[in-house]
Amino acid sequence: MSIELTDIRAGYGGFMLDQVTATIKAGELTALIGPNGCGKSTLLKTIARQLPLSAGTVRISGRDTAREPTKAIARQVAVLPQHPVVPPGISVGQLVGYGRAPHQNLFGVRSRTDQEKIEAALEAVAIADLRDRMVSELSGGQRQRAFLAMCVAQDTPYVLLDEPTSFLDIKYQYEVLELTETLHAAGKTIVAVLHDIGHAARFATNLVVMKDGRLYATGTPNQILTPELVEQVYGLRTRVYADPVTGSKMVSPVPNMQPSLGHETARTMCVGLD
Amino acid sequence: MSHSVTAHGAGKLPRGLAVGLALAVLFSGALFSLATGGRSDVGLTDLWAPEGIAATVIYDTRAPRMFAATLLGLNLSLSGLILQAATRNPLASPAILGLNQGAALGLSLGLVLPLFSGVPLQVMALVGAFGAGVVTFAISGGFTGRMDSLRLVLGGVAVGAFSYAMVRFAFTLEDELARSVVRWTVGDITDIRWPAVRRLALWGLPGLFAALALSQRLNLMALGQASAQGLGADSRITLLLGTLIAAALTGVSVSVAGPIAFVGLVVPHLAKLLFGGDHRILVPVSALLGAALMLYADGVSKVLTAPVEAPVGVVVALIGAPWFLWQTVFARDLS
Repeated sequence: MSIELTDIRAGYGGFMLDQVTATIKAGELTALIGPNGCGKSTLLKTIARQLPLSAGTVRISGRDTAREPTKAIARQVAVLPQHPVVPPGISVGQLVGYGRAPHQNLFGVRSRTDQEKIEAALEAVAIADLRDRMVSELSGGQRQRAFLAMCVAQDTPYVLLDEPTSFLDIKYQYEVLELTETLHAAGKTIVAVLHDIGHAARFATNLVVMKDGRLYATGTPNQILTPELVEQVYGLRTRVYADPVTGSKMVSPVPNMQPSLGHETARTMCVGLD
Repeated sequence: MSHSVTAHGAGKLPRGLAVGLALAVLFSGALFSLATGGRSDVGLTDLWAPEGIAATVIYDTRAPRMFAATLLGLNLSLSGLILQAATRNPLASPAILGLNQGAALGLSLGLVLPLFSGVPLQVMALVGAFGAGVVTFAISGGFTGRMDSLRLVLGGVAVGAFSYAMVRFAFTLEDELARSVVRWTVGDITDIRWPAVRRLALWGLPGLFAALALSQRLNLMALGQASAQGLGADSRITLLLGTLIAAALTGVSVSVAGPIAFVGLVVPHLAKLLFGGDHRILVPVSALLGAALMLYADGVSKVLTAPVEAPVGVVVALIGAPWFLWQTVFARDLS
């Protein structure tokens, strides 16, 4: 039970994922990190079969997704896109109900199970009191939780999140990340594209680091997150230290990035900061 | 957005009452359509008239026309609703995306080219409308799953203009054709009889069921292509099925009455304003409201410039354009 990517090539016109081979083990909360344009979102969309593969295979729980009907995949994998479209004239309850679509017939008639899963999802994400509100009237944070509840109602073993914290303020960022952690604790396998390395280190059990359309490193945050890795992948000189609250790794850029300052100078400045 | 009319309007009326009201409007529209006509001495009291001129007027002229108006309203508003949902574009309608014009081109080709002489005209209209829709959607990138809304509207305008140019060209070839072709460019139902009503029903009623079967996919489409795919409904398939249904509904309508604009654009927005965004409700409601609008337009077309009749397409535009303008300006949440 895992997501296996073998020799994947995919992507929009110019940009391509290049020979990506990786296994995302079941039960992990995997964070995809890397600089802008490194292909992390492309990889997530490829796993969700939103982008066609030029070569290679994606297997989810052993099944080749290229041969599966879209609806069958939707019963395995829930996706929260980077920019979910807010549907006009739809209440939160209706939106969360759409999460049941892969389990329903053509007309979307709700069964008892559907109703229970919808209730449970609204409770899990703590938006039961918003169920009759229009999605278009919600704040950014509430909206993101509503879409997350839709993914929960979909009741899939795998959940893919594409930058779930973007455009949210710090409170809502942590709220969404903590919800993600709760889902993970409830047994779901989660793959999230995250921009913030600190978030990734704090919440993920597994990191997949990408650069230029290739896999650069994988491992637990404690194993692989080093100043060397960050410099090689992001081209940014940093110090890595333990978060005083959680002990997870945090990254802080070294202030002076002028090329005229050599390695030595920067290191001295670092020491000076200690 | 907190003042979005869509949000406040949705669910304000109890659903049963709302449907009841819509039905009452439809029924009164039907009576209005039946009651009016060139012979002002014939009215509703003649509904039960025995044989005679009054009975002929009612049963051979006004009744088919009333049913035709009903079915045309149903067809065009459903077509517009489906196109708006499948393209996620509030501007989408059979007229703007070129389907109306494509249907007229199909009809003209059916008349002009001997090759197609055996093909029923409404099939030619369907093929023309479907072809126009597919070309428009291909231009906008809809079949790669990344539709661009600006290119969609521009593509529709280009396809529509090209189709119309070809229709006009066919029009110049033969004077005899000109008379039948010109009616497909205006929108007119004055001389409709029972066979045309049968054709409309034969395509329109299955179209209604097909639209109902597509309605949940249209709901998922409203969440964007990525989310729709993630919920098991491939947006390209939704678009293709939607185009097919919309083309069938538009094609048969144009073959009977010509392109009647604004019904497909305005009615879905009115339905969304009153009933929210669930297409499982919007499909039947749009059909109802579209039929009602066409019935009133038919009645007004007979009264407005009596004893001369105004083409129903003109009347619909007279009602539809100001309404659309009002909604554009005051109800910002158009989509």
